Amino acid sequence: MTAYLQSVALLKAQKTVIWPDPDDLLITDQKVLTHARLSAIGDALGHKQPDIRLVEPERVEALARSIVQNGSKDIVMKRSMSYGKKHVVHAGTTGEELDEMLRDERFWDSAGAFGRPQWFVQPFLPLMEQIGEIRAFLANGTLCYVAWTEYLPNKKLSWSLVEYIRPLDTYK
Amino acid sequence: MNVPRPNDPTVIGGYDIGYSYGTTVTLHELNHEFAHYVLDYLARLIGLEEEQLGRDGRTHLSGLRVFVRLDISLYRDHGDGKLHYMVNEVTRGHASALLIPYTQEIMPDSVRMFLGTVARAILSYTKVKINNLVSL
Repeated sequence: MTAYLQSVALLKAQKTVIWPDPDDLLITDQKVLTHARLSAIGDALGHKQPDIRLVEPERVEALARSIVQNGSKDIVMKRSMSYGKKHVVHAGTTGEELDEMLRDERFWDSAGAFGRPQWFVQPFLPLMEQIGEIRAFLANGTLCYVAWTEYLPNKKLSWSLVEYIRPLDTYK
Repeated sequence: MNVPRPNDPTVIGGYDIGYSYGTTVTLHELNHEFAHYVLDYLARLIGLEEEQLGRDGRTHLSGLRVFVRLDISLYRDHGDGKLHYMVNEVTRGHASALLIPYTQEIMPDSVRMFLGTVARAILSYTKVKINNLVSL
């Protein structure tokens, strides 16, 4: 990691333009930092973002197993530096899936400058499960297209492009 | 994958979130409320990131300016009982699955426009970066 940072500093000092910027790479998938920014923006704009709570490293495994064994419907546990639901613990997570998610936990203490990913809990959002997510693709500051996705019972992702989104005040 | 036909309503779990798979997306058709929501968030995300990552007198140029995918969920707030959008995930361009049809025949105009926009954005990004480097 240190060698990587030194190499990046050298490249940038040579007036090299890199995309994505290495500084951006270092904050990619930092979900807790992102959530803090989103919450601040939500407060400024009058939009609410559900709260999250960090889970201390020594409590990660016990809490994760508790969610799975008790079928806890209220919360979801997620990890930073992860994507595609690879580290999302919820009532429907199987024991095998959980073992796989927790497999790397013991190695983080020796990961050096790379740092340990952060686990956190957030409220379970039933509408995300019932209607899926809306994915907005933005380039050059413009909204270019929107896709709608949902996870099917076989855990595959279904998606389609969207050209109209119903206003929120038309829902009951 | 079973692609919905144009103008067929997509109804899942009793909620109609719209009509899938059209041709050109326009903000007017898409829903102003949603478009303003994501653009407001993006503008402020870029502002916060550039403010926090800038150092040594240099302005950080956020990669979010080039390309980002915002994943939006709906949730019902227990306080006011209303539905709200929430940004559930911010996925940077280089890390984002595009979720687009991959053959030329079915690629909608909106996606074609998107790819051109990304190319122009990378060019602008590079020019600004070079200008910043030269002026420092």
